[in-house]
Amino acid sequence: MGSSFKGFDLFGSGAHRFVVGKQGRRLLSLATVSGLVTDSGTLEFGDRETRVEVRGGLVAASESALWVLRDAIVAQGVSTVDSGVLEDQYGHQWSTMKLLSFEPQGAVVHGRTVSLGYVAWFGVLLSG
Amino acid sequence: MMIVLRPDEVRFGNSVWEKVARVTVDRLSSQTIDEWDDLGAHVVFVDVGRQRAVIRVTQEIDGDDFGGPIPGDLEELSFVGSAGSDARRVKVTTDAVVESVLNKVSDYGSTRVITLIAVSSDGSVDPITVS
Repeated sequence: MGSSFKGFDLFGSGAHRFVVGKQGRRLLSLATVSGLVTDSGTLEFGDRETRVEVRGGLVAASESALWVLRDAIVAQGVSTVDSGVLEDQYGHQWSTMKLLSFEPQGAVVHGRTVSLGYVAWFGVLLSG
Repeated sequence: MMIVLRPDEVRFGNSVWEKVARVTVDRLSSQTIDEWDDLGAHVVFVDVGRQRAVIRVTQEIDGDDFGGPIPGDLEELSFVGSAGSDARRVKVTTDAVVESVLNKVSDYGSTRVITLIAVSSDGSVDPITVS
């Protein structure tokens, strides 16, 4: 089973791994809110938004083919694009996820293949 | 990888290197890409993004010697190997930069090992030509 976002196989050209971010209550110290370091205590403001990091490598046979792969991912990170279901290689799903950012890791590698490491961050936003 | 024992001729630019016992060419990765995915413990992708061809020329030194190449020198290196007959002569050519020159002296003889790095014309072409 391959991973997908909104049904698109964005990361299947190469190996990739899913990392789920911190979960739980969203906490803030009272001193931070009030600006007084002498204030003690911690406030809670609902729950943390879900964050999922996908880290891997895009692999293609040519430079132009690699651009097709990265453009397909970046197109999902545009602010006007709707959220959707993110699914990992085991079939676990996160709903109403948006691609928040896509960051290449270093230069394109020209070896037997043309490849590029990346980190893509997905998350749930209040906007849905 | 390549090993040529007792090559017929070794040239570095205009210089002829005499009494060469052997020339070796090693291919080494300078950047290995290896990737794992979530499905298991084993690596699923390996590629070499940067590599270098390292040439070692071993010369026998009989007496005093005040010459030799200097690290950083760039010239065309060529050597000819033959497997016992002219029909099987193989010439190897490459542009190469001298990385180091090491002399090894003992009671049984002296050798000089010249290590060179082959240089590609544009990065995508194999710097070693065999003809």
